[in-house]
Amino acid sequence: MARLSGAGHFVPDGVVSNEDLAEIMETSNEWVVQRSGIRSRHWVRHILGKSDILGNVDLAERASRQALKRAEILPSQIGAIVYATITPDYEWPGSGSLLAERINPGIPAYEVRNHCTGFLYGLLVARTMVDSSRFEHVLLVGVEILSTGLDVSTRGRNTAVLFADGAGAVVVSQSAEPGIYDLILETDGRFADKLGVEAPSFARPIPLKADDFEGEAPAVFPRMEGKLVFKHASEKMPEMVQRVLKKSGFTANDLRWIVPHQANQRIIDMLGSALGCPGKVYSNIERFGNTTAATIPICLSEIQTQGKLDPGDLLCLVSFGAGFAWGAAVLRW
Amino acid sequence: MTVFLHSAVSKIDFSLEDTPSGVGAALLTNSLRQAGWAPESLDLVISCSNTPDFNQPGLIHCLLPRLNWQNPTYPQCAALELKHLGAGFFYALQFGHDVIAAGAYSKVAVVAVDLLTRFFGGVSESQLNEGQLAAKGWLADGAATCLLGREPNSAGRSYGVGEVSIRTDIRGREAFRCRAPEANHQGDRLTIEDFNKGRHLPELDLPSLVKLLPQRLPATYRGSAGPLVDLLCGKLELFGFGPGLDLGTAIMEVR
Repeated sequence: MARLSGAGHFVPDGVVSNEDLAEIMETSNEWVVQRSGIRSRHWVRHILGKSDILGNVDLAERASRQALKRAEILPSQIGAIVYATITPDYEWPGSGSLLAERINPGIPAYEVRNHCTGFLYGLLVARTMVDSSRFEHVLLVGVEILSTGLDVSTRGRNTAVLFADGAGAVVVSQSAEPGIYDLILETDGRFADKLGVEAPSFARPIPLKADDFEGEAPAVFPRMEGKLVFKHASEKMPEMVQRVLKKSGFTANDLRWIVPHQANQRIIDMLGSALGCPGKVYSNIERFGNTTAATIPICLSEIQTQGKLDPGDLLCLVSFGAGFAWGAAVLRW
Repeated sequence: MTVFLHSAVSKIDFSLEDTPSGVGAALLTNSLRQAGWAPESLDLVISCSNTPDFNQPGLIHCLLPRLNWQNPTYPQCAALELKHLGAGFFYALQFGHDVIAAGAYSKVAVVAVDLLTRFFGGVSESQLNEGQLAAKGWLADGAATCLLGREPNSAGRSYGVGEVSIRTDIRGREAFRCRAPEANHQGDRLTIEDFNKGRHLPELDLPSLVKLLPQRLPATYRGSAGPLVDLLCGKLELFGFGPGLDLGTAIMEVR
């Protein structure tokens, strides 16, 4: 049986506040906080002289080493890496193989590309590898550098204020006791064009043209039908928590924490209200923004850092994002 | 219990106008029909592609709505997107096998689509450096699917998915690479000038790659679809590799 045995996270030093963004685009702290709950985020991107120049794998390595230390697992004991990102350092090779070189050279590295649900899909892969006894310990990483792909002009403010950079990692290990009870993952591709980035892509030949970088909605920058995403996320996330709890034979009362994907504080609040336990829903979006595949492991690591997670605690993880795709898991720490 | 691989041999023609997801959906529809599986019966679809329709979300999300669903309520199966090149099929195969063996899912489809020639669309050869020219001459297009299911009565059966092995070897990172369009390592994404200068194009150092590979280099490279195409051609000891080097091998028998 598979169980999470340690979590770690890392975010770049560069803290970008809403006030900082207001210096380069038409926005305000009040506007951003009211719509998203975000007050600041960490970016590697050069802005107002704040920068780290770290790559995707650099963030992942730091988070991974913290997770390994907390799990009391040596890097050489890791049998495989599951690497969830949509923003790798290179098109080829994958960032997972680059992390493998730094952690335990030669081990396989699954490159998972499932956006906001990437960590949950990665959890499915890691659990399966451990349950099959293929590996005793698997390192699962969720990491993104989203800041470098944002439109930081007023034209892009609806998405630029939301997304951020960061990495979170957990070690999934074999255990005699049940760890990950149930995992439900679903998708509906009819909404594939409602949240994402159009180009560069291969529905048409690249290279890109100047038009792709210009105009009202440039193809190279994120696009999001915010109201539609909000509506579906607000419905699906509570539904998924209830379904996965029922499937695994637990209730919300049994949970110590519900750890949702950090996309919007209003969605997080609605989740707590719908489930009748707002105090159990963890949130750090105010300080970190939306780091896509990294949000959930960053939350897990923070909770562990704060001493608010004890062995045996029951957790529910839930996410919704591009695709549309959504999922939830129940696990015991 | 044996996990079996049902490789419904089929062929489709596709053109420059077809989208990668359209090619994958047409093939998967054929495979499902030949296997007698309804799309609604799939628990999990795994896609392997480096050439998705959109930069985000992945190819799988564009592909699934194009299947020939009979159920008026859109079925919402799990959809995993893996981003590997030649080793992608082996990662998908190993995971697909294990997830069925664990009892989490019963019917899994693997779809591999790589239309690699599109990297060079609209680019004149006179603009290419030596490594890019080598890559252009070698990279090809391919798409293939296979279905994985549970065999309830495995007594006496020797076929199915055999040993699947995957590993990475980073010594090959300079021999076969593509630095963009997703490069983050410089602190800023590529600009239109970078694309105009061809910095997004794959590069191949053939002599170095040959030295690193344990097996013979294929004449053409179809990315994640390559090993599956080999499978459809009757080859049962498969080998694939991708930049990294991401290496995969598998032994199997096709039903």
